[in-house]
Amino acid sequence: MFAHYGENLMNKLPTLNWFPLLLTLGVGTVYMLLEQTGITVVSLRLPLAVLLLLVVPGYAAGAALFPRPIGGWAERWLLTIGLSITTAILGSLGIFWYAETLNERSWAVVSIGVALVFSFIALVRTPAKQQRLSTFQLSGRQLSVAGVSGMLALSAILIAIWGEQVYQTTFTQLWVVPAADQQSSALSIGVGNFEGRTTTYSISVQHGQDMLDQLSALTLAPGEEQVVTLDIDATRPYTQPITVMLYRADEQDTVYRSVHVWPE
Amino acid sequence: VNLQQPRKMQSQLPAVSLFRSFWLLPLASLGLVLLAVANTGARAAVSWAEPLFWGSLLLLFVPLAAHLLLPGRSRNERVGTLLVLGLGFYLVRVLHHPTAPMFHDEFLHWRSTDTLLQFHTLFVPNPALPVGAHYPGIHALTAAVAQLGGVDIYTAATVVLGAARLVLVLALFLFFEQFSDEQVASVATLCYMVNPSFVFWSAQFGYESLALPLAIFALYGAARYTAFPPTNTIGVSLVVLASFAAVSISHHLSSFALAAFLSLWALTVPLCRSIGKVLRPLVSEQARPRWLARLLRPIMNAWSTTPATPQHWQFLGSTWLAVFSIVLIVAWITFVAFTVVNYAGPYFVRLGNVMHDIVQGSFVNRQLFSAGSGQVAPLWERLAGYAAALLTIAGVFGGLLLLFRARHYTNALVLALAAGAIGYLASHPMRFIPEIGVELAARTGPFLFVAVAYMLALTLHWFLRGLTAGIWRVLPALAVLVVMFVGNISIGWYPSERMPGPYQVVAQGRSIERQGEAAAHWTQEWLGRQQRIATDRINRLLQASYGRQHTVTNNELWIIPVFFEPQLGLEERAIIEDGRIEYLVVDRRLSSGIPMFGFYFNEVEPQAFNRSEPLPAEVLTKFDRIDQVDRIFDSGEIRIYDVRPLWREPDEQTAYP
Repeated sequence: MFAHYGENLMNKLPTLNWFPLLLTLGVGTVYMLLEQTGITVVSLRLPLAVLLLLVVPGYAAGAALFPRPIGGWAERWLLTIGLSITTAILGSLGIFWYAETLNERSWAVVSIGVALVFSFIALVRTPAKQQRLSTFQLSGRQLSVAGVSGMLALSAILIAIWGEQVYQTTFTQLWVVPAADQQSSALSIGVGNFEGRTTTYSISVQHGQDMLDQLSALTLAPGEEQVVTLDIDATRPYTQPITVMLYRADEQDTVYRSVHVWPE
Repeated sequence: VNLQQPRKMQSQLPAVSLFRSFWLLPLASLGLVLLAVANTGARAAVSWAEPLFWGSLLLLFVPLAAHLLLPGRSRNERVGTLLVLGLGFYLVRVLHHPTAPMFHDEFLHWRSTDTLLQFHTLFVPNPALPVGAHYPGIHALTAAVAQLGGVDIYTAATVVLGAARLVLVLALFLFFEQFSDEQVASVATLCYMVNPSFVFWSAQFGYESLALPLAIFALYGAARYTAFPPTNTIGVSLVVLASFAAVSISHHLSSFALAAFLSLWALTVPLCRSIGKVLRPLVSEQARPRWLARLLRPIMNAWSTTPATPQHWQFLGSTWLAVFSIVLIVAWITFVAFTVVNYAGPYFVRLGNVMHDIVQGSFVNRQLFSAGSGQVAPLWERLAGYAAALLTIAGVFGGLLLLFRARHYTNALVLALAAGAIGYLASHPMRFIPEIGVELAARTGPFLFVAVAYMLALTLHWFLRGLTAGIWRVLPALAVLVVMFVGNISIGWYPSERMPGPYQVVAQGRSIERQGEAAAHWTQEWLGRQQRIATDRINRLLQASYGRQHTVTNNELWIIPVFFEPQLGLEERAIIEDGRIEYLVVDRRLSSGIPMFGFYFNEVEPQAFNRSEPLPAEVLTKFDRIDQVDRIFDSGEIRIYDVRPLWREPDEQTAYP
């Protein structure tokens, strides 16, 4: 009996709809190759991930469930994206229940696995000649207009990102926390420069009127931070907090930031 | 009005010609470029930013809307135009804050996704949004794109929501097309896009933004499933069941709305028939009074010509789908998301309090078009808002009238939509209720507006009847849509929310800036995760998300006196001790103005929505004068205090990581 079905299938092979299966295998193979070779090209990985999660499973599922055309390209695209999203959500739940670890590999396996299963169903159910894909009739001029429009939309996003970066608030962070080594009585004093320009600071550490330590000419580039460790005398009686004051080189008489801790 | 039976399956695929007028595409893109320039100008607080903002939105909207209103456009053109417009409106939110979350809920879902990526599992508690952990649809999908695509959470979310927007537009069009022609369907989808939530709320990184498109997708499947004669039932039913399941585990309100609509639809079929039996004698030629008979006769015509078989099929289909969706919801809540009961409970309590106040005569209604800070929208925006509301009401009533005048009306689904549209109108008064009313209106609006959009489309279609050519003929209809679009954005969003700009006190995206974000990153790096932190609304979001901290909320502890009282007395110290608060994050800018949202910490704080002066600076700096309280961080406006010495035993070690 199986031989009979096999013979039938072999006879039908040239007329079957291979597209969902080939698409799944193609996207899956390229993604796995990238993974195995450790190539991390973000610009390539993201489109592949989008294909793998948001296009291929739904396309295969749509082809399997609706072997005959169910409408125009709108229906087909709705099924493709809608079923892909549905598959990813339900697939995540499946991974949680059966494997419990949602990671890159499990998501890739589920997406490719689901797409393969539906592709095989589609292969058997859908005769190739009925799966005629709609074609986009775009002239060269229309393609150019579409390209220009895409470039404009992209430039809008770039302008927005630029605006977000340029109009940022500027400030400096000063902090004091016990040093990571819990056995000592040291303090970690840190300065972070978010001024948007290279800035020179000085730091003074006081207990009341007593100067415990001083650090001058601390120059930090934008985004840079510096942490210094200050050992404090554990045997000394502290009746007031230890205060750390930060001064900017361009305004040395004004306390710019101030933090304090009460020694244990 | 051209209502028709569900479309039959098309036997052949037409070739695609997206645009006859291809120049609309660069025009829409140009609108986006101008919007980006307007947003950048707004950051620099220039005066031309706001006019340019509205101008760019209209440049995006008007040509595409006019294109859709004109007759003679092919189905492909209509779908292509709707997709461009839908994606264009989605990019409005992206251009506002392109690289990071901006709205309140976005931070909560960012945290849920981050937790999923960190622990590689679902249902990990999120103290900032406990119920969110039990509806992990968008978190799972975003995490999957982030991991497979090698990008950060927000970039992945932007991609996911873009895909969701495509689903929403396509599903809406195809759903409407199930019971009307392609022109009405495209105009109905266009009308849906002018709802107050479409541009910002439904584009934010939140579970509703994914669940709503899936719910419409499910509804489209349900409409196809009940189409008569049934075709490819197994395929369609699998699509419907899968999408129902995805909605049920993605968002509570979306699943409730879907189940409610399906139930309404199922009830409408037999209800029509039984009402018909009662009403038939009233509309006969001998019936008196005559005016009542004349009034009821068109309504009777609606179902008297209904063939029995499609009605039965529709009744069976909608009933079993409604039952299935309710079973799914009940099962999910019972076995997984019981916390939604605790989440929804306070809403009913607050609504009950409002009802009580109304009965007692002590209810103080909200001032429309007024922010919590007392700032009132400009006159023209208020006028546009009122005009939009009136046009919506008129459009819905027009649609209802047209439905009952149509003698060939046969579809109970449309009657259910009519009921939904009336429900939307009934929800309008909620906007007068401070906070809870506005929130409920915002949350239910995107669902109910599906029904409203259809009624509006019927009215506009009637308005445009007989039109053959000439863009000037569509100008009145276009003007109506423009007023509704502008007015609804004015109703739904404060001016400061629509555009970026200089810092404002507790004002959504306008309060999210680098100093607060950097402080949150600092706490994670130097204090470790899951520290118990008390702070204001904005820093709570930042600390809970980027800081990965356990931010103490009002539900957990009444923390307000610690920040509001001029002295840190025994009672305030007891609050800190009882709540085991470890750190206080104090933003000195809170004393620089009245909060745009009407409150600094939460909506039940003293003087919420009724504040005439900012919080005094002294109450925020009082912690500097408390013995044993360390000021461990200072970035100018934001200071962090270590308050553990107030309750920690003297021999306990300082537990820095």
